[in-house]
Amino acid sequence: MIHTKKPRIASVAAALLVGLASLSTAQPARASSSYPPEVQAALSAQFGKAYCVPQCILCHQTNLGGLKTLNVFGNSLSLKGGLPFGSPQLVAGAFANYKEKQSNADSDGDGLSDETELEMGSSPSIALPRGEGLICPDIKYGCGARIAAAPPPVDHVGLFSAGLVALGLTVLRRRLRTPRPS
Amino acid sequence: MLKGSGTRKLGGRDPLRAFQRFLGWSLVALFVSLFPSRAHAYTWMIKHGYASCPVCHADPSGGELLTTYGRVQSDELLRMRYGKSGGESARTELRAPLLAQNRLEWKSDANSGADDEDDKEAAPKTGDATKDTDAAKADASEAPAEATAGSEAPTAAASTEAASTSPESESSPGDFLWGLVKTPDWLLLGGSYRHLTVLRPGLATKKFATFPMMADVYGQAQFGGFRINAGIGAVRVGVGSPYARAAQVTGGQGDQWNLLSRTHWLGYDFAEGSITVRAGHMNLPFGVRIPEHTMWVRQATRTDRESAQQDGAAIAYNGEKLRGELMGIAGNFQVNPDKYRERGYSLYLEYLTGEHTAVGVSSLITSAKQDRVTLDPKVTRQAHGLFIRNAFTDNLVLLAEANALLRTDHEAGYVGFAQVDYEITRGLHLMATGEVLDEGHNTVVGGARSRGAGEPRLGGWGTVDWFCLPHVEIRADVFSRQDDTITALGQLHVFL
Repeated sequence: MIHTKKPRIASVAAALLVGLASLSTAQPARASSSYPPEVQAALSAQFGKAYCVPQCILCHQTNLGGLKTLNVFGNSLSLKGGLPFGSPQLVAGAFANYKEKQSNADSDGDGLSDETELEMGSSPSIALPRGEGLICPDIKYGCGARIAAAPPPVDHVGLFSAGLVALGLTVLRRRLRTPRPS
Repeated sequence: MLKGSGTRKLGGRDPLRAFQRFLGWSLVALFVSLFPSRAHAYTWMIKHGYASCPVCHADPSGGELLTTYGRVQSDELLRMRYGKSGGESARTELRAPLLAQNRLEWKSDANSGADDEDDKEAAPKTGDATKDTDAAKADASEAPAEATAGSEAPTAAASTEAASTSPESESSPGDFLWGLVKTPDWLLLGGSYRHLTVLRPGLATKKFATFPMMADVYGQAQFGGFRINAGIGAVRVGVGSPYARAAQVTGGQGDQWNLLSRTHWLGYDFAEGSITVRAGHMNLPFGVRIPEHTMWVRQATRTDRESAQQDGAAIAYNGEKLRGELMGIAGNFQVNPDKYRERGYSLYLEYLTGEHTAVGVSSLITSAKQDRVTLDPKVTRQAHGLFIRNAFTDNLVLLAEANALLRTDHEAGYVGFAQVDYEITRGLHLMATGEVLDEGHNTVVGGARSRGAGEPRLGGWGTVDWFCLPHVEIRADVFSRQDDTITALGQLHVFL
């Protein structure tokens, strides 16, 4: 029987290395999630205070986002603020334009201006009280769900430690398997 | 077939040693799981006579972790064969024994050592076949008696024999990591890595992106009828991304790496494995379990396998002609706070009407105090529909699904898709998919109707899917949807 383990071990090792390399250099998986941080920066600058990372529902019909799924405020911002599709880098300018040109605009017609609602963290597209707090909801993901601080949870020390544990267990297992002299 | 206990493999009657081994394997699995990966169900396997899922998957409704038999069949039936003998034998000999696959001994290679012994008596070893191929062969030897279409039976026996006598059999495709790691009978390991490249020429900026979409590993330990199944992976998504978040284990809300677990459950098999009761975090039983998580039919019903899993309890049945699963949904406890958790039920029931045709119904009702996607308050969502899987020929398969969508404060909507899969030659598939979506007009917020929200929205996909190497898939998709730019996807998928 011809054993082909060595080449396969090499192939698997190479594949793992490529995989690890791709992880270490990876961009985050995203749909159009460049927008939320840009909007956060724009609103923080506009109101002179820290602002949450807004939900997609600020400008879209749902949090899935997507092209041509803009809600009434999103449409207004796009048209009157000058924000063409696929241009997250222009978000800050669009908010500034919108504030300047449409300072009293009330997209959802609930009596509060878009600017006021944005400052409150409420949706300028959905009339109050339904739209209250929708831009900065309290939703959190993960078990226990806290805002995780850097560094990311999978770090090199962790990987190295896990490797050591696995190696130790393998050695232990081999020692257990070795018949003891009687 | 279940004479032996899994604990015998764990260290005989010495409980300390058994525990040490269990702990050792668990930690090794955990370590391996730190590296990325996930294997997906291929619902078009019905053309090979595989109408039900547990033959090849640990999950009774399919997806993710492969059984040893599934791993062998993946190598035999999915991937491209190079050279004369490979291609021909694959095409002509490998037909599955129809309807014989629902039996436990087909399903689970993690049953017991006694199985192996029985199997060896039933089918003596030939050549250098591994114990897994022996087991599969022995099972196959019993299959004709069980198969309602006995004429198609030689198949798995042929396939495993082919595997055992060809030079390629030395790679032991039934073992984990291309045969490098032999797991004990009670343990299944698997995983997959998907690397996605996205090209959107219609965008003004960021036309190109490449990132690891999935990096999960899976495992299952089975002791008699009792099963522990879990998967873990790593993911990094952008701030505000709708993907992966709901499967997070760690609590990073930004664009850092997070650990995630899409599934983790405990289960017990009854009635020789035809009934499985499970509790834990699971895929929702609904519709056709396709890997394309962004397909509207999965996205709008929130029944994809990307991160739409929920916690709950389920009972699955896999009979000869009928299969189905009902899950009571207790909410996704990886989403906080509680008001965003959906509770209700999800189910599907599928009946095999012919040799290669199955039709099914699905139903789902959930309610939450606040919807985590639309942020609407007090939302009840419903989806009810039909699906069909039909193999017209050995090479041509149709998958289709249509669902009605009902949601609080929305008009009734619908979502559907139809996918035709043509396998040009073994391992190379061409697929064409059409989809339609109308989630219903929001009657509270109002505003103008738009495509997808009060009006139908159409989309089309063209796909080339190449299973080029054992457990390696390269896939290219181009899709266009109304009101969106054309998008090209390139994907490397390695499933362990």
